[in-house]
Amino acid sequence: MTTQIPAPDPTESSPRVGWLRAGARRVVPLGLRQSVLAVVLGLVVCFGVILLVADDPATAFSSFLTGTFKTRYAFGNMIAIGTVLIFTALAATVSFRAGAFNIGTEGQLVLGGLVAAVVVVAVPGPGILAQLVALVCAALAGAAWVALPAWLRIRFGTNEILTTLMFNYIAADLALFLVNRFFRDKTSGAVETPPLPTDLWLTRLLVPSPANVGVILALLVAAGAWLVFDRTRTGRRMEIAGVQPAFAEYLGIRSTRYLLTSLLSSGALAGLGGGVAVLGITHAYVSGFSPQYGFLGITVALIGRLRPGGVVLAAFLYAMLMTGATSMQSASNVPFALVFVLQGVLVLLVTSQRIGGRS
Amino acid sequence: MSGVSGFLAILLTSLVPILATAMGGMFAERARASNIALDGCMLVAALAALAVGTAVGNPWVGVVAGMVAGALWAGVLSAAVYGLGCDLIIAGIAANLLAVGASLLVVQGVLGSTGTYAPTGTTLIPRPSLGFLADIPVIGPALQNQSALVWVTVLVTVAASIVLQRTRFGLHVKAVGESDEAALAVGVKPVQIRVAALLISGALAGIGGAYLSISSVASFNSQLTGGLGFIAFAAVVFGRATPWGTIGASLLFAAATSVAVRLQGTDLGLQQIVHALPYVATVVALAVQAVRESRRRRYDVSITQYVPAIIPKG
Repeated sequence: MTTQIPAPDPTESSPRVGWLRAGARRVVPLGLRQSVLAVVLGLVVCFGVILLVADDPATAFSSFLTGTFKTRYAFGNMIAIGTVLIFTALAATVSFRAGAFNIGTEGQLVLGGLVAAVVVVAVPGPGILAQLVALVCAALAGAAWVALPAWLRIRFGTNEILTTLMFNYIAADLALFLVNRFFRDKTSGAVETPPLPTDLWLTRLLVPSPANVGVILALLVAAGAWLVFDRTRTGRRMEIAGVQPAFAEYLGIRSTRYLLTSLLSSGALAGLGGGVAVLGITHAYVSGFSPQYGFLGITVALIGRLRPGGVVLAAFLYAMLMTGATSMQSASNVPFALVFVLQGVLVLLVTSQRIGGRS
Repeated sequence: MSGVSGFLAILLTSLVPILATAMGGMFAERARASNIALDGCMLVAALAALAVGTAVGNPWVGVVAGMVAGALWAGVLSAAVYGLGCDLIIAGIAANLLAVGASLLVVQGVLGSTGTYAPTGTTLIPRPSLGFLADIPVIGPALQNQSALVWVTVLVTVAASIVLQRTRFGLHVKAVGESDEAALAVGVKPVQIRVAALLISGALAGIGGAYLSISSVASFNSQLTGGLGFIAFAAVVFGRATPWGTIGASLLFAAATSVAVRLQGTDLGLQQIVHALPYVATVVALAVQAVRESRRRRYDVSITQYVPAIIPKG
């Protein structure tokens, strides 16, 4: 069960472009039941699609669900994808909880990845130090990329949904330009940076799979997010500022400050996710390295009911389905794109107010 | 072709997908049912137009198929919003994601191509010659041999403006946008009008989508729209959802696109940066709009307006 409270703006004067006044929009997922129901219904929809498309629906559907657990590599791949999804989903969570829609996580992630790939080779010293510096820079890059939309939103009330979205396209162009101009691997035909030396890779866990120690970092960050949200004054204030900015101001909370903080940390988390993806999975900045991690993070955040614990579970669940889809693609004629269909369906089901009943 | 008419020709080419889509978005916006899924509607319509147009062998059937597909996609959005009770904006974002997924699935799973779907033997939209009119200086060469969809878009724009400003339906759309209570009181059903406005926006976005896939080249991939639907949506916002404003804003964004197209040919080594120009222009326009609004609001005496939290079921 989710509730959306459109904010009635008392200073509303133009009746036309109402929601563009960029008041706080609040998504409050409340019930576990709805998430479970949405996932089940989403899988039913997937099964319907598979029935329509596949020559052998039974094989396709079973490899979609269990493909992850058939090989060690697939399982490790699930962990690796889940790691990045935790970061992007936490990024979405932080902004949603503060009443802002950061739809630009994709762009922040791409730039974070590029910065990590560039910085990690530039830093002298042992691998671990270079990785740390690179990850911090990736987070800063993500935060920097959301800073302008955030400032416009806070200062002038520009709608952040459209601006962050446009920044995705700008980030893609910028990354392409920077790589082509300065960092491109001359020996490769693809748009990518030179492959990183092995000692700069994040330590791998289930060799030869792409799983890496980034997952520990992701779980730590999730735990930290839980602490901030549920155990500190900052988290509580951030949430109040998100639900009712006017009420927050009345309580003496500078709502804009919390909005800025949450948007910047949202960008930082997305950038960090990009850094982990590049250092841990692709081991070079490869153009198009992200299979829409940023947008998938929004879905995962909503299924995880905007709670760090739920987000972790939902991230691994979705990563499982993505790995399953890869094995389904090779085992049958149903394409990987099924996970993108599922993504849209899940967002609709999990935010529906008519499914799942009251909680 | 001289420099100016060359630029005008490119301007018209980049104007069609933005303007046609924005005119649809204007209806939805005026009914307070912002269609942020315009991009998804365009994408689905582009695929439908290409597939059906190729199968039937007539590009105009393809355009109609695109309009139907766009309207269907807007129908999915309205079903989610008014049937499932989803938030309009979240549902719109989901509809966009769903459009990417569905079109990839259809291209790979049903049509059996990987990545880009480019069927052979597609008839493109005809490009009418203007005869003696082409001799008019500057404008003539720019209008000569433009896709017929350019003229369709002009007609659609005029028609949409008249419908919005001069007909009973347009009045209802605006009434629903101003106040649900007032509309209900005189027997206008808000949800019905909103769904109609959304369907119109989807159908017009369908024209824009069809233009992308069967007008100059017959191919489709999931990045075909390149955010044009969002740019069109921004044009509606920047134009304050009025016909003239929307047309002006569309022209502005189309101009940014054509400057990008023109500069990409030159050898600056900055192709990708130039490619981002329309998106940057959009952000700048939105920022300018917001600054303007906040200036205006500063001098407003408190005007309270009641926004109902829940749209009553019509």
